[in-house]
Amino acid sequence: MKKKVAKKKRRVVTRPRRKRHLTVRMYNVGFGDCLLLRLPTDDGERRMLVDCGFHTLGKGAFTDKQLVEQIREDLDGAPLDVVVATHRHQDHISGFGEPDLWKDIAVEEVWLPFTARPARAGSDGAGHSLTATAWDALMEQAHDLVDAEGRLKVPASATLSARTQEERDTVAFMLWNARANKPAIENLLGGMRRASGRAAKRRFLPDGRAFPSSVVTPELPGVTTHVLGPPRDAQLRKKRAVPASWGITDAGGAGMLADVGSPFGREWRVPEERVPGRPPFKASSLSSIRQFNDDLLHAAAAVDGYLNGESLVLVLEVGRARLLLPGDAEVGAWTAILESPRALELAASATFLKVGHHGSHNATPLTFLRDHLAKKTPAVFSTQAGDNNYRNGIPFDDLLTTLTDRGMPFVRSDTGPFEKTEIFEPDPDERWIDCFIPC
Amino acid sequence: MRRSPDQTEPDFRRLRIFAIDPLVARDGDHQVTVQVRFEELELRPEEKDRDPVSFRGRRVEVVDVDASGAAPIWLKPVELDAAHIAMQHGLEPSESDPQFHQQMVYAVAMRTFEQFDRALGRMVFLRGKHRLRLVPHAFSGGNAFFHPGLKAVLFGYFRASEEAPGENLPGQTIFTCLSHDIVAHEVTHAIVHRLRPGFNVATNPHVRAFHEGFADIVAVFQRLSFRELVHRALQTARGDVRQAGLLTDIAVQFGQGLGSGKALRTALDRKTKIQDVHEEHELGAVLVAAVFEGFYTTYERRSADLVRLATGGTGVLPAGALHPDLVTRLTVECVRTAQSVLTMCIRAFDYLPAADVTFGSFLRALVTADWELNPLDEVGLRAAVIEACRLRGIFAAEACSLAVNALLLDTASHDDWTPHVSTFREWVDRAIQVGVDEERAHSPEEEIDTFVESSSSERLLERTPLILFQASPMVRAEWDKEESSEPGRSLGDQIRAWVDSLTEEDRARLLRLGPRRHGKTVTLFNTTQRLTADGLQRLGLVVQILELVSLRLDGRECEVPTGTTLVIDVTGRVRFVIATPTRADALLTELTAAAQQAARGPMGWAGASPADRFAVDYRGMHQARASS
Repeated sequence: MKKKVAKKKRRVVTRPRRKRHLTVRMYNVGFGDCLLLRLPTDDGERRMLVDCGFHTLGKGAFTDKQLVEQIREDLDGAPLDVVVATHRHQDHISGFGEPDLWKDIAVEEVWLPFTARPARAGSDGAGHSLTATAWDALMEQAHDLVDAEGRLKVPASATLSARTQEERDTVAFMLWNARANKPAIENLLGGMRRASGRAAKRRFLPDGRAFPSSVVTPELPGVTTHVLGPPRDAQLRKKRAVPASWGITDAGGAGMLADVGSPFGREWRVPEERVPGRPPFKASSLSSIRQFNDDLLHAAAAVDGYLNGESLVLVLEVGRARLLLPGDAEVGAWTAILESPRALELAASATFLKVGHHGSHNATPLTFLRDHLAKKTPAVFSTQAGDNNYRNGIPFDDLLTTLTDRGMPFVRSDTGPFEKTEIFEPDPDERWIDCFIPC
Repeated sequence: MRRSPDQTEPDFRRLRIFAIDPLVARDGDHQVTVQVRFEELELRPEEKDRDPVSFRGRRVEVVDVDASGAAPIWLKPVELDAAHIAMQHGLEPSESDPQFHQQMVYAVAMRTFEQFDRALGRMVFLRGKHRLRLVPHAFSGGNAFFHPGLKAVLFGYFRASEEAPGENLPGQTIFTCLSHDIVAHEVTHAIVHRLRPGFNVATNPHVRAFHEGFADIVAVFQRLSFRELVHRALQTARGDVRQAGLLTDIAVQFGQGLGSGKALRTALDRKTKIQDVHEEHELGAVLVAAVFEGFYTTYERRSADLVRLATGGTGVLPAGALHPDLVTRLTVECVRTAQSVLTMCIRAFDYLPAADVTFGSFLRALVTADWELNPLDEVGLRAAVIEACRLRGIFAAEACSLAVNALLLDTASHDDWTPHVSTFREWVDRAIQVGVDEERAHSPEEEIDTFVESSSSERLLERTPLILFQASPMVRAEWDKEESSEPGRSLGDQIRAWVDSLTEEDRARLLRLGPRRHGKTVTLFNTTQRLTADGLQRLGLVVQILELVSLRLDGRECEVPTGTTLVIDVTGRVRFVIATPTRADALLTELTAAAQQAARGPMGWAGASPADRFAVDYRGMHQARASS
C-alpha cells in the first residue's frame, strides 16, 4: 500500500519527455524475462532484445509464438541489432525455440554467456569442460524427469513421495526450467540471420579473463556494454548460500527448501565448543554425506542455482544512461561484483535496474540497494508471484520494502501498477510496460 | 562358570532392540533382547576438554553425526558399559531417544557380524581391519546405504508421506536406523563387499540382484531367529509362518512411510521365475523367495509331527488359540530351521567364484558348502532349497541336473595339482598362523578417517541420485590394499608370486584364466573350518585370485573382473576350483545386458557416466527399490 501512495505522488510531477531517452519495453510474459530496448545512437535508433522466455507453469499475456509475433510487430520490419540470452533457463529462452518465426526477424549479433560456447573437439575448453560435461549430464537427467507441461514423471514423483505436494511442485518447477530447449539453443547458436542474410555474429561473454570487461560493437554505435558476469571462476558460479552481509535479517520464508535440522533437542547434542578437534569424520567426509540429503530436491536446487550462476550481467552505457541487467545472476556473480571496486562502481552507476531473478532473495544484495545504488533509481521486476515454494518468496518482501525505502519507483510485469508516470507507460491491455530512461 | 572372584567379564552383552519396525511395534510389544558377544566399548575420541562423539568396539564404530543441516550436529554417544544402562539390558526402545537408536544399530550390526562369524568359523573384519562406521542419523532422506569409500553405513531419516503414510502419522519422522531389516541389510552389504570385492562390478544382471537378495535373506532369517518375536507371531498366526506378516514383511514402516501402502518387500513366495523378470530388484526377490520356500517346506516337515502329537494324530489344528506348549515347540523348530538356512547361505561364500556371481553359482556353492558340513541332509533342507530354486528357474548352467551330486562343485583333478601341493601346504600353515596372530592381536590399530574426496567432477555427480562410488579405479584401489598384518601381507605376496610364476598353459588349465596381464592380479585368502561327515574338524584355505580383463563394449574400453577361487584342504590338496566361466563372448553379451540395465539406471535416470556403468551402486539400488 505504502508504495502505491509513493507512486501517486510521483504522477503529479509528470512532465512531457523532451530530453533524449531510451526505452525499455518489458513484456508481461509471466514468470520469465523479455525486454526490448530501443537505444538512440549517433546513427539513429538501435534495438536490443534481452531474453525471450517464460515458465510454462507461470504464463503471462503471451504464448511463445504470440511473444515472438509481438516482438516482430513491434519491430515493424527493423532488425534486432543485438539479441542477448542471459542464460539457458527456459524462462529466459523459451521464445527462441520458435525458429520459424525468427526467420522473419533479422538479428545482427547474438550475445551469450561464455559457458554457452560449444566445446571445440579436442580442446579441454579452458578447464571447465569436465565440469560442464558433468553438469550437462545433470541437465539431461533433469530433462528426463519432467514432461513438457512441467509435471514430474513417475520415477521422480515416486522418489519424492514422502515430500509434501508443495515441495514436489517446487522440484517440478525448477526441473522444467532446466529442461534442455534444443531448438532455442540451436537457434541462438546457429539459426539467427542478419538482414544481409549472413549468419548473425555470436559473442560469448565475457571474452577473456578481464573483470569487468567491456564490449563495443559497430551495431550499437556509441554504446559501451560492461560485462560483470558470469564469473570465470566455476566455484563462484556454483555458490548459493546468501552471505549474512547481504543484509537479509530474516531468512524465514526466503529459503526455497526448509532446513530440516536435527529431530532431537539440544540436550542430546554435543555442544559445539566440546566437539573434538579430530572427530571420526573429517569435514570433507561430512560434506560428502551432506550431498545425500533429499537427493532430488537438492539436485534440482543445485541445477537451478548453477544455471543462474551462468547468467550474463550487463551494464549498458548509453549516453548518461546506465542500464543494469543482471539476468538471473545469484550469489556468486554478486560476490564477484561486490568484491571488485570497478565492477561495483559500474553496477552502482546504474540509472535503471532490471531486478535480478524475478526478485528472489538471493539475486539482489539489499546492501547494494541501500549503500551503493543511487536513491530513486527506477527499477522493474519481470516476475509473477506463484504458490509453490520456489515462487512464493518471489518477489522477496524485503526487496520491495527496500526499494520503497530508497524511493525507487518500480513496476512489476504481472501486477504493474499499470499507470502512466513520468518513467513508466503501460500498454492499455497490460501486455507490456515501457520505461523511459533519459540518456 | 567363574573360577575366581576376578572373573567378572561377561560372555555376552544383552541389549534391547525393536525386532520389527517401531510402527508395527506400536500395536504390541515387539521389542526383543538380543545377545551379542561382549566386548569393551570405548568412547572416542579422547581429547582434553572435549566430549567424545562416538563409541566403538573391535569391528564397528557408532558415530552419531547428523549432516542434514549446514553445520554437522554431533549427538552424544551412549555409554553402553555404564552400569545403569547395562543393568537394564540397554536403554528402553524408544523412537525419540537417539541414544537408543545408537544402541540398536550397534546391536543389530553385531548380530549380523556374528552370523557371519558363526557360519564361516572366523571373525569377519573389514579390509585392513577398519571398523565399519554406523551413522544412525546421517542425512535427511528416505534411504540408507553402505558407502564403501567412507567405510560407513549411512542411515537417513525422513518425514512420512503426508498423503498416504500408511500406519504412520502423516509427516511423522521415520528413522531407517530403527528398522532391524534395514540395519541388517546394509551391514550385510558391507560384509559382502569385504568377502567378495569382485562382486562390486555388475558383470551380469544377477550380480546386483544377488547383493540385494542376499542382504534380504540375512535380514529376514536373522529376524526369524528372535525367539520372543517368533513365539508371538506363531501364536497369532496359529503356527503358520506364511500367515505371519511379522516374520515375512521386510521394512514395513519404511515402505509405508514412503507412501506405498505396504512393506518394502516380502519374503513370501511369488512363483516368479528368474527367466520372467529382468529388473534386478525383482530378480533379487526371486532368490529370497526361493530360499524362504526352502525354509518353509523344511519347517513344515519338522513341525508336522508336533502338530500331529498335539491333535491326537489328525494333524488338523482345532479352532482357537494354540496350546502355548505347542507354540513354544513350533518356535524352537522355526528358529532352528531359520538359523540353519542362514548358516547355509553364508557358508556358501567360501565356495563362490571370485567375480561374476550368478544365482546358479550361488546355488552350487550353497549345495557344496552344505554337503561338506552335512552330507546326509537328514532334515531335507538342502533338497527343499534346491526344489524351490528349480521351481523358479534357478539352476547352474554348468551342472547337468539338479541332483545334489550334479550340483556339487567339480572336484579338482589331483594329478594336475600334485606339483603344487607342497606350496599350498605352506600357505595353509601360514594362513593358520595369520589367523592365530589376528586372534591374539586383540584390538585393531588406531584409525583415522581415510576417506579421500573424489575429484571435482565425481563430486558433482555425487549430488545426483545416480552415484557410482565404485568407479573402476576405486575398485582397483580397494583391491590393491594389502592385508594389514605382516604375515598376512607376505602370504598375499607369496600367492601372487605363485600366480605370476605359472605358465600360460597352466593358468588356462589349472586356474581357467585367460592370458596374463601384468599388474592386474589381486589375491585374497582366508582360512576355513569345516566338519567332515565323521565329525572331525578340518582346517582349510580359500584363495581368491582376481584379475581384470579388458573388453571393448560399445567402442569403449572397460575392465571387468574375472577370477578363480581355490578351496584347499589342510594337506595342501585342492578340493575345488571355482572359476568365473571364461566365455569372452558370453561375458560380452551379459555385460551388454547389464550395461543396458544400468543405463536405464535407478529411478529411470540416464546413466551419468558410461565408464562406470557396471559399478555396483549400493545407494542407487536402494533408491530405485524405494521408488519401484
